[in-house]
Amino acid sequence: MNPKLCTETYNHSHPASIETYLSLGGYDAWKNILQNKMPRSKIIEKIKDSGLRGKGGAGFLTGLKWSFIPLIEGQKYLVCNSDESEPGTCKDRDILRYNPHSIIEGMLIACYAIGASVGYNYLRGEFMDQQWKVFNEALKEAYKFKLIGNNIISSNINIDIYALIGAGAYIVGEETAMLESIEGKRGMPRIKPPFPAIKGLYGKPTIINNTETLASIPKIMLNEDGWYKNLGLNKSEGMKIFCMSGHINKPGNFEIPLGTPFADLLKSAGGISNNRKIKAVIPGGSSVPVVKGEDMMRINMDYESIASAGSMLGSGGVIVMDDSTCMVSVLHRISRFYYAESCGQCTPCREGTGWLYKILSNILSGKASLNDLEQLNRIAFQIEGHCICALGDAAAMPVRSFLKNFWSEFEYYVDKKESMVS
Amino acid sequence: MKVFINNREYTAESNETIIELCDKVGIHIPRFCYHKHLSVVASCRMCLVDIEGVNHAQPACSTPLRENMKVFTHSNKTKIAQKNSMEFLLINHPLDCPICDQGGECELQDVSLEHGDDHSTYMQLKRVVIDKDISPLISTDMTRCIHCSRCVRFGEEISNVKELGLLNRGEDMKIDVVIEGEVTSELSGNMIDLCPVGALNNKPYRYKARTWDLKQHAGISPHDCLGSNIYYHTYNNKILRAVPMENEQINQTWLSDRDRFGYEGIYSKDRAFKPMISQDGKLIECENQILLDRLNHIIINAIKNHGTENIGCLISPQSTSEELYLFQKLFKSLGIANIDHRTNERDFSYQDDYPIMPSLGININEINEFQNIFLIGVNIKSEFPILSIHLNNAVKDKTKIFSINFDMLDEDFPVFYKKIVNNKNILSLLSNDIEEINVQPNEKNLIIIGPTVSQLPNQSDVLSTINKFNESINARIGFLTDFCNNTSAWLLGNLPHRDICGKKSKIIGKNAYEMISEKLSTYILFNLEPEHDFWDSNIVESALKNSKCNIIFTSYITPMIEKYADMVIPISTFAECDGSYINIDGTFQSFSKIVEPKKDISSGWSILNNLLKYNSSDIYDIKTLRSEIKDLIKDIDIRNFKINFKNVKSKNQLEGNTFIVTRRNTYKTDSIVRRAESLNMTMQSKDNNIYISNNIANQFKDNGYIDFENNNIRYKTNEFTVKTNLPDNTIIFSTNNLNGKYTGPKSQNINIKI
Amino acid sequence: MNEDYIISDNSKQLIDDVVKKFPNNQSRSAIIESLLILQHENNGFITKKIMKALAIYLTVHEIDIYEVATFYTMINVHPVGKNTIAVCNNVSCMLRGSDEILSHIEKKLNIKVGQSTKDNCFYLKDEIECLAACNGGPMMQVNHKNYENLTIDKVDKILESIK
Ligand SMILES: Cc1cc2nc3c(=O)[nH]c(=O)nc-3n(C[C@H](O)[C@H](O)[C@H](O)COP(=O)(O)O)c2cc1C
Ligand code: SF4
Ligand code: FES
Repeated sequence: MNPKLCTETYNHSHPASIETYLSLGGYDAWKNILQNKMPRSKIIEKIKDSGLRGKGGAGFLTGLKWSFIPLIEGQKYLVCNSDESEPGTCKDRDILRYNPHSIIEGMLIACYAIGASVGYNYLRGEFMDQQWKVFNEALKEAYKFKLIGNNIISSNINIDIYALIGAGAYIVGEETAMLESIEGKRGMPRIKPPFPAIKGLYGKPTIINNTETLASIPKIMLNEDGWYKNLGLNKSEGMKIFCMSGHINKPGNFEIPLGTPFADLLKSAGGISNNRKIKAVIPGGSSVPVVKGEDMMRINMDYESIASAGSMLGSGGVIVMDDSTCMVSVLHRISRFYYAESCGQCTPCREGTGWLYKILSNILSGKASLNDLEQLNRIAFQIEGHCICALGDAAAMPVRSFLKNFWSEFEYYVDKKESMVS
Repeated sequence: MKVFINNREYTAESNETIIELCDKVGIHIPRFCYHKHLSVVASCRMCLVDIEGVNHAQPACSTPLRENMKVFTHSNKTKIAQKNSMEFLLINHPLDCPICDQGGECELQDVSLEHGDDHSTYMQLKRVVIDKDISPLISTDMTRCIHCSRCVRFGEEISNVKELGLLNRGEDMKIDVVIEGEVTSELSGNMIDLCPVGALNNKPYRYKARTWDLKQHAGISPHDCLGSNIYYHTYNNKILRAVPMENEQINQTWLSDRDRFGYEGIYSKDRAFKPMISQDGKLIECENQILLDRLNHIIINAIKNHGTENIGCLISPQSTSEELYLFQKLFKSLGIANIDHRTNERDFSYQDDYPIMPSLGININEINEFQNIFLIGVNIKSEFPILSIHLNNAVKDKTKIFSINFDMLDEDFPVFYKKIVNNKNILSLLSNDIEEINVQPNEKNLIIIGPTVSQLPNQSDVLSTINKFNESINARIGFLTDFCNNTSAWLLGNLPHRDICGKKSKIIGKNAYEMISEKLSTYILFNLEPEHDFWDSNIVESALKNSKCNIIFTSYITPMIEKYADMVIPISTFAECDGSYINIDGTFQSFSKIVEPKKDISSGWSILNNLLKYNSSDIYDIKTLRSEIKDLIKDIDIRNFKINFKNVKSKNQLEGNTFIVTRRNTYKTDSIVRRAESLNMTMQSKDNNIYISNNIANQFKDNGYIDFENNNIRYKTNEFTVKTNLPDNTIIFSTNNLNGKYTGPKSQNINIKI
Repeated sequence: MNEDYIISDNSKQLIDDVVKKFPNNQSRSAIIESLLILQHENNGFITKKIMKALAIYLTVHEIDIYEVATFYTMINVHPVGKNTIAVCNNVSCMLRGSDEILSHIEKKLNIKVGQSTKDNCFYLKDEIECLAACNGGPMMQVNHKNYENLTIDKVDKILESIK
């Protein structure tokens, strides 16, 4: 049985309540730190050694990121990224509604470690009805239990955490766009450098971490050194929630050791539905390259293994497609998304995503030529690496990988003006 | 730090970006979103360059140089990357260059010639954006917009009047306003320059000419005392538009709308085109030479018959330094002491203690070095738009601004402290109540006294109080004046009590107010509109009516001039003559004729020069004239002025129960802008409200009236607009005279009855 | 007609609470949440008058608010029907049949995505974002409340219950 970090409370009757959380050893890590006046550097060291990698998409080492915060005194901020909008990803929403205190505790520890007195948890607007309410309720409880606020457990430490809500914009998940959004502006990513750790929210040093990343912190701090690292399988370190969706029998979130074979994960998710054959998998949210089903069955769910298959682990949103899937339609849908969500500032992204989408629409409506397929490839190539944020890449990578892996299907569509599979 | 660009070694400063260094050393990198005075957004992706060891080409505008970095601005990788950006930019850009005003100076056109492809592979529908009328000064064609966001950043970062914004996102992103027609910033025209394509265009200039046919002439702004540097563009001897000429000390790369569109006033229909002499009560045209002979004759006779003390010589400080110099030289040489330029003033007790000339006391671009700046009697945003850019920067550098004004305050930079006062409570405010301001004498403090102060009936008391207030904060004191060349007017002795460079006059003449209120026999007005350029136009009117002879040197025939002039000598405007102005930080700036005047119009200085010839041996050409002036003033140092008004005291009694003041409306400040058509269509020009304080409004009865007792004017109470933030008993006229209604003093304490 | 919009006391209170989350002089940060609050008060959409009132209340530029209001898709700057329906039709949901659900709703309500019903009861939002319920697809949000694992029957029942 795998240990559980973020998902521990999920099966309890009142998963979000502070009582449930406390009964499972919640906030012990936080109290420990305060009572022992643990030096900040020690926390950062421990997180660094644990090998914890950011769960938001880029997989950057969390401890290393924290260590970029300047040591000088002054206002600093922590931002928890609960904007979860990458298609295929639905893990943070469950942590928010079933285990909000793990996020709060993780945020408190992170604030302490980087010397921030204020933390913001930015939830996407669509979480307004449920997650927003649950998380705010949890915050109130934590204040009531005096685990947060002024002079926490007589430690002289003051940390406030606020929940913020977005209003519908995928791009705000990008960390610097999120800072702009918190400042009350359009969510347009900033250029880097300067990095947020040096100049972030309101110009102050800021760390942005994903919800799952922060929710993993308490357990890491509570256990002995090396514990988290060793949870991984096959040379990988640590755990990850994978969101299984698409043509499978038991869609859901699975918190499993990194390095678990994809085949095992698929089995846990009930296998392919309707007894069909697996055709393709997008292993890390819709922005990463698609992988052919047979290749996927050979690899493990970890950063290196997935990279070796030409894709990325990304946010852990695993979209499984069976052999009835029309790849042209899927790519068309993905392009529509990035086209609609481009913030509009960079020329290649603003103009290029629309161009891609329009060509794909033409293919679907039978108005395209083979030339257009080359054109798609070329445009994607022109966008890639030429934008401020990774949305441009996110729009380009699917196009290039779909074409590469399923060229004949596209060719067929252009030629016959209908899908190869239907 | 050593870096390599195209294999040549350069030294870069830390934090310098690739584009900064390349601009400095003259290596061209195409760009659309980058502008050296705006923040870097790196969004257009036009400046992508190849950097050794970096996979993708990087934006030169946002990439800082690193030690030993190797950049290639013309390699294949660079070229392909730039070409690709260009392709993206063009897919949704209309190909309507032949009908686009930007054609010929379009950065997109230039760059695409150099970097773009000769055909388009884009086969989809293009984006179309519906246009709105955003202002009388700027025309839009938003389908051409390439989203560089320069215009938006200008509003956000430079003018601090954010009226244009980025709406929607992605491909639907567009530049737009909240309310149509309401781009009101006094600096809005700069967005025309900033726009690299034909999306924001100069409305008055629209479709007037193609840029490559234009001729460029350097000029100096005649509309305020900052002296912004301008290029005027002409076609067929006509000015068609103006653009900024870069001057880091003054206007950087910006221009106020007043400076940009003010030239339109020189094409007004009421220009004085012909010399005229009155005969049987009517003005008839005559020849220039006849006129000059006659003029000389009249002056000599007037002196003989009525004495020099019965002649009043008044000149506008909008005149050039050459005109101002010759004007006083001519009349002083005839023994006349009644010479003045301060026609907007009423209280002159301060005059002996006034410095040699008004000045800011510092260079304009030093303003952000001050920690605390007190603005007294000036609304920078509308009166000195270019200065508001400097102050906006200063505030960003943590300068605190304290504004004390008689009018509503509406600055476009954050003001730390503001107070609206009348001419009495400003005295108590500065002597006692201001203690709440925690400003230390060891900080760098500056007090700027604005033009409204000079119009007050008790200006001497105000100056003296400011002076005393300053003892506690030890500030530098500077002035901003109401015209572009008050500095020269003072310095070159157009005063009843001083000669050149502040030398005391042997005989003290009458000041401007005395001249018109004491009804002299002969008036000589140079470049002045009796209707607008005097403290009280009613008194001028009665003076002109009762005098024996009125000699008017003017560019425009106003109704009063037509009615009362005995002689009209048409003179050129700034655009049609050589001249110089000394700006408020003491910079002497000369300019040459931009267009030829109509046949019978001469430059003011040459007419004065010709008159001088009758009586003296001094004759000049422009060069000797200028060098004589420069030589006379070469030792003046604006930094060394000590202001000492401590003992001056106004002689006027402030008896009325109500303080009235007319606002110095941005687009009514001088005879030329008053006639600039496009500026007259702006929101600012449309304001002809009369604002009153709450306590006056509270006394209104239904269908009541307000009587101005000393002026015999009556207003219906519904003609007023209440402004709650005005101090008690205050009435503000948004413009003087132009709505034909209020013609009384520009600022006075009067009795009103409701 | 030309009267200014007046923010209700209740909303003012809520907005004040939002402002308190941010450092001093950062009231601009409160724009997004305030717009959601005011939109709720105004039948689901924001007008220029509301933006103006909010600009004055938060002391920010009017255009700052307009910019934000048009950037975020959950803020409507045009009138919409009372109940907002958003059917997720991103990849994961698409693979599980969201397109049928959406066209069923379109037919049933006799509108296309992006439109509101004639009686102004429903607004069918053109939802392009993934609503982060991929493991419950197909799904939709009605007034921000999630309904997952939809079937056509289920959709009918949900819509009936709202009418
Ligand atoms: C277009 C785009 C969208 C993103 N969306 C999200 C998101 O929804 N949630 C998230 O946690 N990170 C998202 N990210 C990644 C963040 O920028 C950032 O890397 C992450 O929040 C850092 O947290 P971590 O180090 O804990 O992973 C996105 C990045 C990009 C470029
Ligand atoms: S890549 Fe696209 S989404 Fe990202 S900053 Fe540029 S325009 Fe915006
Ligand atoms: S000039 Fe560098 S990206 Fe626009």
